[in-house]
Amino acid sequence: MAHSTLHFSLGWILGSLVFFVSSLRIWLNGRASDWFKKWFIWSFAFGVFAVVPGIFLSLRLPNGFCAGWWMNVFVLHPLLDELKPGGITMGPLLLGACLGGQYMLIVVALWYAKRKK
Amino acid sequence: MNHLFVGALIPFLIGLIVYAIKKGQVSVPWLLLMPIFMFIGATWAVIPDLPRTFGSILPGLNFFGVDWQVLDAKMASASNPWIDIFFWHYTINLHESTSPWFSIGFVAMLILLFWVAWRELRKTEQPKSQPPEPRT
Repeated sequence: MAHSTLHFSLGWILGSLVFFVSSLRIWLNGRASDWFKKWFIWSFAFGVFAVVPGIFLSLRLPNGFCAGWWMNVFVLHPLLDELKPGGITMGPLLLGACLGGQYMLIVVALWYAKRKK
Repeated sequence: MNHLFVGALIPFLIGLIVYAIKKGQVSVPWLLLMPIFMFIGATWAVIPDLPRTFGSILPGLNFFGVDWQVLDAKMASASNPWIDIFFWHYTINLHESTSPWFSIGFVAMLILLFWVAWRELRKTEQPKSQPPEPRT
């Protein structure tokens, strides 16, 4: 079983990718704060979506149900469990890099907006 | 998780007081320094556990010639009250509980930090309201 932070990070990355593709118009024409707000929503929603089978497990639903192939809908959850069991170091590191990068980008955007003003 | 939470909470609360004093106005350096200080605080709080962690991750390596196990024995946090200098590490270990609230609290701090940065960006981008032109 892979660590929940690993699942969350992969969901976060997928959500970000989906968002980047769909948000070019906002990026070019809109305000950066709107763009960041949507990015937060997409990335965190996908992150939570990726850990849904883990939430089912903690709600004590049967293991056979939570580890079934259909759970791959949740950002390949059972597949990742098989490929990378554990990941207690890698998961938090990956999540830290994702969130740290996102935070740095918003600070850079703020610095740029203040400079422009 | 509770050590990390306590370690990050102290600089976070100090930052929050500064934020309140400045009436919700923060600068870019404040936003950069906050997570750095939170990281330093969280790291300081788990220093007694680091030799054990590194020993399990990198068993073949040592710390400047000292074996991780020797360092871990020196740190033996359960029996050394002086380890309280690492944000009450010893006392927390005595009353340790595995509550999910520590993780939730940690995530809440991060979300609040993101929100403050985003709010500042939003305020900066908002055009200043023009005073109404006097009627002639």
